[in-house]
Amino acid sequence: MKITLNEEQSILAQSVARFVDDRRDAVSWRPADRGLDPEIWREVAALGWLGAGVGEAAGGFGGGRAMSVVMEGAGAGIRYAEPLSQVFVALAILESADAENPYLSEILSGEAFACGLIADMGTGIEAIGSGDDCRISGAFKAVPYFEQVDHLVLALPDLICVLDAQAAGIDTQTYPALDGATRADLSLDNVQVKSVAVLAKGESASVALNRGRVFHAAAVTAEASGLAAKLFEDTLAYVKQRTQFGRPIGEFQAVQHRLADMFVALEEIRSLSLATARAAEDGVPADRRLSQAVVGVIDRALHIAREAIQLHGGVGMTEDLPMGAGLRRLKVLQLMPAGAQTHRRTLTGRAT
Amino acid sequence: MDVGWSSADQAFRQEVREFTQAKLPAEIRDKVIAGRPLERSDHMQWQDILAEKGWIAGFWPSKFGGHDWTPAQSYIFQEETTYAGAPWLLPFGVNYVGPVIYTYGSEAQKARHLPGIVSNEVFWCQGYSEPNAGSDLAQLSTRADRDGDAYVVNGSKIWTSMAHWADWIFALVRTDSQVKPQRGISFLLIDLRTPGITVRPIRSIEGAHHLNQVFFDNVRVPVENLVGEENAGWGYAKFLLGHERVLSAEIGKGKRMLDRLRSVASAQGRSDDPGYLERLNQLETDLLALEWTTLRMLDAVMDGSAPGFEASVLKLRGSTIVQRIAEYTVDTLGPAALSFDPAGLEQQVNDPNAELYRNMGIVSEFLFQRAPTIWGGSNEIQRNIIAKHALGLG
Repeated sequence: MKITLNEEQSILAQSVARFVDDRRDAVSWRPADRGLDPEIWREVAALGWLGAGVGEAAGGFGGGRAMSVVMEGAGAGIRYAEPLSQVFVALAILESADAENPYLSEILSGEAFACGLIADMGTGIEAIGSGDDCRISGAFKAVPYFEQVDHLVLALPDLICVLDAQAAGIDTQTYPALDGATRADLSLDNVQVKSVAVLAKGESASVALNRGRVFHAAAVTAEASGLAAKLFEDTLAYVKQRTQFGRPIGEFQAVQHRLADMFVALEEIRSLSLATARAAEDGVPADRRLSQAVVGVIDRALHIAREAIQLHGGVGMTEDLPMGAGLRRLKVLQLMPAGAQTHRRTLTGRAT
Repeated sequence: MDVGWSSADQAFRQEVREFTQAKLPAEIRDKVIAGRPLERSDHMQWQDILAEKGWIAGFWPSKFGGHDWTPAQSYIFQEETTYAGAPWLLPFGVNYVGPVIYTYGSEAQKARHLPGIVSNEVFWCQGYSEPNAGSDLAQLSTRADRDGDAYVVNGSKIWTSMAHWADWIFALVRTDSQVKPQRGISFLLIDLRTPGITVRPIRSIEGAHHLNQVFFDNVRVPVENLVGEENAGWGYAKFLLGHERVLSAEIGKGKRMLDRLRSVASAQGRSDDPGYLERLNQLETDLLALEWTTLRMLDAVMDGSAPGFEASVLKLRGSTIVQRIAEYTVDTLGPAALSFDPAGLEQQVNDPNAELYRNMGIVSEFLFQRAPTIWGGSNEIQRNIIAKHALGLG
């Protein structure tokens, strides 16, 4: 079985965990009043994390599993996870569409910042025309850090293309969001696609879209896994230290059984996250089980976040601890386009 | 999604699948899938087929009649056979007492008892719980007093599954009442034909008879039937629990029960009902999470890094999920679940197409499935174990 991380992946996991842990103070849990910090992003790129998302032919060293390793580590420090996630989705689409396209190296080096948008995230998306006169219309809601984005990497069922974020015809409304990121609702009105920016069409576009979907699912579950682990560990430490009625509250069976259930939920989150990472690694088609894994992970992680706040009591309601930020981030992963709620609707035949 | 099985494991899976398809008698399979109570002969017929193939005790060392199966092979065997509708391979001999005997027993005990388990000739049951010692098992009070070359056993064991079908019982008995409870318990092998033993049936809520209370009234058990050291039985009992730790999740059974839920929903015209789809997805997701958790723990067991509490995690979730599937299948039947005739269900000639009895089987299984969260260390006990050993609480 291919379950245990190989040596390279273990080293990567440790280095991401150390990086995030060392910057715990710098990584504010509170909502940001600014977008992506370019300094931090340059550092992430210099560390080579982005290369975890693509194979050697595309200038990286990884694939689905290595990407999940980075996302899980980054999940413990919310601020890193979102920009990484959207870039990994962009890279996965680009690699699949054309492993030698010029965008890859620009993004891997940190020079350009990209956002991967898959068809499932949009509404009313239409590509009209072909060749030099291909135009895209439609809407994408809640695109994170749009103000910093250079390239929008778009994966539609029969077209993979890259749009300049400043292109004419993209109307935006930007707002601070629940998880601290700035997000923008994009409205695309006949945005022209340059012919050089069309990377794949037809069957190979559909393959690249699938890869974007699977990597997105793997990134979401890995991030939630890292975040849930952090919330659980903090709560476990707290119940051992907080004294009421003359003893640590962790000595009360009512508390112990809740921690046991959180622990089991976390184990299941790790299992489902592994399943999606394996799917990304193997390049299999997105299927019902992939959607179930996303839904299962977010449901369980939300349970852990709610319990973490409850078991911390009043202090769990404050911004001094990461519990609230964790809950907000997980709600975003649930409610964002192509998030757990979208997957749940797909599963029950009630597409958005 | 694939966990990356080795080609040897894939070949073994194929072999088990083909063997089960070819050899599992259709009437037994239909009974299992319908959820109808099995008779002793159903279990024995299937286990004879396995014994002939040499697959009763596959995970045992070959010198005791096994095939040195890896934990992965044991898992694959259980998943494939139960998914195909084979009866549960009764664990009392092969999974419980057998490994205790070949690990701690005397040469004479190995020679006498192991072959009968491998050949499926001797039917074992387990004497653990007592009326006043359930979750707090160490408080057990069935006494074994030494008298010459025998122990004299007095007391009773309860919730003893299939004791009425069994030839032998392995029992935890009190041999010292002056010490800490765990330190005064011994592990005895008792022939159920010994004078002084009475087996009283207990009907359970689904109307079937599989539980019993076993009474011991001055039962003389030869001292050579003591396993290992006197007063060391608690340690053997704990060893025993570790033997099926990755099997307790019963993945194959869960998948089989989901198949039946889908077919019931289809027959009731509810396959597209949004409420049904929502619930089906939830159950499928729970089973997917359990399956991958089992695989992760299997991997850890095989590379020796297993932390030791995996049995508790899998038992807790496995029992809960199977219970939920069983109940939701009844809910999906709706008013069709209201007919119920346990005696008729047992006597009825097997006919999977007889709708009335098929539905009763589903109801019967729903009721029976209340048991797994209670047996084998109740789920509350499993949470205690996790809190203490995995989390360092209490």
